[in-house]
Amino acid sequence: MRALVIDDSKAMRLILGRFLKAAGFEVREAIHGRDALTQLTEHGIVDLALVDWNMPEMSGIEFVQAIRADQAYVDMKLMMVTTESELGRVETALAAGADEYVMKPFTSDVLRDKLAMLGLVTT
Amino acid sequence: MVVAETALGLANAVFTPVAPPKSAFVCAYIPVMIPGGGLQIGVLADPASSRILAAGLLSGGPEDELSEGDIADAIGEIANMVAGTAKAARATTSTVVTLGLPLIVHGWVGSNDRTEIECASASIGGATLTIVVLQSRQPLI
Repeated sequence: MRALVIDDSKAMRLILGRFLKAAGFEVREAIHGRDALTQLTEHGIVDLALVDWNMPEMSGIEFVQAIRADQAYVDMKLMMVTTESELGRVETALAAGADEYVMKPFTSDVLRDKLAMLGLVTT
Repeated sequence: MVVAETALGLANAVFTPVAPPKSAFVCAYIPVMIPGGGLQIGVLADPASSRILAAGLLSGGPEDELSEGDIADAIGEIANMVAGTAKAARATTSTVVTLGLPLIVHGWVGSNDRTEIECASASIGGATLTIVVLQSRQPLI
């Protein structure tokens, strides 16, 4: 399984990358939405993208919208991992095509449960 | 993971109001845009505390070397989480509140007579964390 962690924070990319690698994923990183789109084009599709919301160049929600507009990525799971915690934001992300939503700060159990709900890991 | 399991204990930390610190700090400020005004929410730590907090966030072992950039980034991420909580408290169905991107400052951002400032500190895992809220006294033009 392959995953892409999209966050302008190196700390968050490190934390999420460690978790995913321990769960058996091959992990790539991107520093914002546009970087993520470039990587997907150049290095191939991934099974899962963990997406921050507030990033320079291209936000997480813009990335989600771009991915869901392209049939090539129809099977790619998108999980928002963000400090945006209002219900309206969650609704916006899910309406745009995100499959799951995790609010920072989070526990490893929450991440694991979310991945299990997506059918990507077993609990 | 420390950050995953405890969020650095921020939820259980007891914050005490303090006077604005004047020494050099690692600071991360997040702008919080609210219609008619705005806030700057800052997270400050002295160099030793910032290293402890960054190591806690990144769950690095003693052999891990943290660069100044790693530490600043970790403080920025802590500020992001604090600002996110503040945003959730301010946002309503009719008030759209937006977070900006972190600004890292090595030093101290002062206030003036047009800015209100409040500070509070807490001890977390051997580190001292200070949260600063800067608010304009008048609406932004």
